[in-house]
Amino acid sequence: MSRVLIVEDDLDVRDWIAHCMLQDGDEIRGVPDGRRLHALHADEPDYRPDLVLMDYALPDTDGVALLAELRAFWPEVPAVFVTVQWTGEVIERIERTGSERIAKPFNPDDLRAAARRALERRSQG
Amino acid sequence: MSRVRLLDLGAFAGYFVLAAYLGRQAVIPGSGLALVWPAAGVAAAWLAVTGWQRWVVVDATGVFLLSLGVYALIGTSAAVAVSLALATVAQTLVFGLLVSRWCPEWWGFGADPPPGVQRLRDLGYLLAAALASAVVSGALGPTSVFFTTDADWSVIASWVVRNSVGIIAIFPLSMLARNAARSDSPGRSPAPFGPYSSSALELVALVVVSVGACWLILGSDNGLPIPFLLLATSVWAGTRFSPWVADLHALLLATGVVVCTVLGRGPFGAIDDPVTTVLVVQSYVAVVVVLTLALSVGRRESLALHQRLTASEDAATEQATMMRTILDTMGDGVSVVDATGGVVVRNPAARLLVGEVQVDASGALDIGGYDLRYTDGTSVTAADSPMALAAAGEPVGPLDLFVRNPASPDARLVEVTARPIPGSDPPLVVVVFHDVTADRRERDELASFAGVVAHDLLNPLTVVEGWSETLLETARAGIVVPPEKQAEQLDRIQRAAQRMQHLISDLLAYTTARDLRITPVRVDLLAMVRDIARARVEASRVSADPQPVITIDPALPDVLAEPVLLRQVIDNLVGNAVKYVAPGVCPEIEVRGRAVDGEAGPMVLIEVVDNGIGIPEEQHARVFDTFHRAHRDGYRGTGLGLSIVKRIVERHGGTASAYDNDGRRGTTMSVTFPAAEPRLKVVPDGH
Repeated sequence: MSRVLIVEDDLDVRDWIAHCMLQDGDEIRGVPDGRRLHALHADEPDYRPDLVLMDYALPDTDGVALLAELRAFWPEVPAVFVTVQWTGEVIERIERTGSERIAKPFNPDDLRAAARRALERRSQG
Repeated sequence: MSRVRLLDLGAFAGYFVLAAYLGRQAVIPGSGLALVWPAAGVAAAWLAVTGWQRWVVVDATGVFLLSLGVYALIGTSAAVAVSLALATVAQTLVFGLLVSRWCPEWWGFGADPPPGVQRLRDLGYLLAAALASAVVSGALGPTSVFFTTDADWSVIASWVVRNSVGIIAIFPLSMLARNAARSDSPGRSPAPFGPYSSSALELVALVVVSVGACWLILGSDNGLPIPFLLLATSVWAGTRFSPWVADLHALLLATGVVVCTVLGRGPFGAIDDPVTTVLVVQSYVAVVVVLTLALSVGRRESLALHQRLTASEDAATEQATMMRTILDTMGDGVSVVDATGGVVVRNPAARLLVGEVQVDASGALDIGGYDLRYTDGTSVTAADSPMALAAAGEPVGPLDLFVRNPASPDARLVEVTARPIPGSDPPLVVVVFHDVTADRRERDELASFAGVVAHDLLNPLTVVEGWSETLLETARAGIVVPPEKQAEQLDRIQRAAQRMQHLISDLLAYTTARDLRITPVRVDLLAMVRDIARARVEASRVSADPQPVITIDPALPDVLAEPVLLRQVIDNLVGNAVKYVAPGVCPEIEVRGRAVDGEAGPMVLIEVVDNGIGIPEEQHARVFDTFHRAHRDGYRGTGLGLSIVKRIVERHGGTASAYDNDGRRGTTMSVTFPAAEPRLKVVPDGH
């Protein structure tokens, strides 16, 4: 069983992602933005997700910047970016983080496959 | 044969006979040697102006028969007359052949009048052709005379010189006369002055001085060898008058010399030996004619050159004025710089876009002074500047650069193109600056707008697609899902669809706010606000939400606005006030308004005061940005409502702002619209 953290400001999308991942028996938690993620870490220093699923366009920051911040306290945590197909520059930034990327709208199987690849990468690394 | 052609033929025949007669009058008494033979020049001109190729046989036959007649009349034997007539024809044809090759533009009947001797080079051709043709004819006619009679070699020599001079003296003047008679063109006018600086008075002076000099030098028997003094009048005529006057002067001077010599007067008349007399007089006449022609042709050539130069100068000035005007009025900046950065040309737009020329202490171009930066923020160095690269032969651009200097304190984005100017010495570079600040901003905004729209549509679409797929799969698999769970999933789909609908509606409203043509009319603001408030209360009642309490200032002034857009503004503001309240709180809203002074005239300030959750102070300005949302948790929205408000208000010349309520919870949103004229109070009749 994995601990999955979803960073997504759209509550409906967050629920849908959670629904997809919950079928694998994961422990799911969600935050809407960077500020709330930092608050979560401050409140529960022992909590450490196995996988982060995140949107790129967040209200207070962008996903790549936030990933760099959270990796400061959760080193090498694998991530899957669940986002719309953005510009080439954004795609490049995401790929440089070594994360998986999946475009909205997505098939639940594809999301789970991306999550598995991200976890495998971490274990190989 | 046309009538004109017959007239030409007749005219030249008469001219030839006259010239031959005059030539015979110039025979030195007792010698049989004529001093001049103008008929040779007449024959040459005849063929030149009547058409060299087409009528040459007719004209040559005419020359032959007339020559034969002239020689028969002066008592020449038949054999010698035929021989001399043939020699005259041969001379005419050889002259025509040579000149038609060297100066083909002199010939042709019916075409533009042949220009005649225009350049010094033409004069050289004329002399060479005249001499060559006279030599050929001398080898035919006079040689036969030499062998068949007891005449000596001087017959041949005098023939060659006399006929050459005849052609040189008569041909150019005949061409001028012919052109003057045929030309409609003012440029070929035989006017004595034309573009020349001489005057009628000077012409009279020339005539008086020339006649006087002839009289003194040639008419008297003073025994002084001073005929060269007459050349001074030739120089005068050649340098101050048109070729027409100059040629005529030379011909008349030659005639004076010949007449005086024939009469036995003057320095030439005093020479005892007839052959020597002939050769000296003919040489003198040749010098006078050639000198005059050379001077007048040279003068004409230099005048033509001067005219061309003036015309070119005028054209260049006109071109430069046109280019300057174009440069001064164009919106793009243009600079031409040399290799050291020295500015050669610069238009006002360049000054506006990149500021004054920046130079360092040594006077060289200081790139740093322009603060040029690439779009990634790095500075452009002097070595990498577009001017330096183009000066090295490498075309640059179009390249986007930021420019920040006193002329552009807010940093403009300028598209720079630099090209070396081919063939410029010293090497020059043209640099064009095109201000793309607004274009790029608009492009970026559009890209950002499209991105946000895509994001905000794809999120609910993800939800719709995901949950509907889940429902479909369970149905297909025959899995029984509890009704309440099914209802929850369907509810999620419905909410997502509604979000998409709201976004699309707001996008349409956003576009309308931007593009709808504004026709301001007087709007009863109080009635409109009451109507909107009623609708909001009713909607809350239907949806079982807490019903808002809306207080409306009964003194709301009328405004001048586009009613559709004004309604959108008020509805958005009241709608936000209803929506953004803490859970369970009943919205309490006050709409009030008053007249204020605006920059462009009287305005109405409309305020919507709520008891909502408020807007963080740092976001008071940003809430009007497109897609900005101050509250995301628990409150649905598109982020377009207040940007629509701002856009509509600004299109009416007003302002929109948000601030906290004084001492209590909630926000006051304020907008201004132009005030309508106060209504006139109607005073009932009889009061």
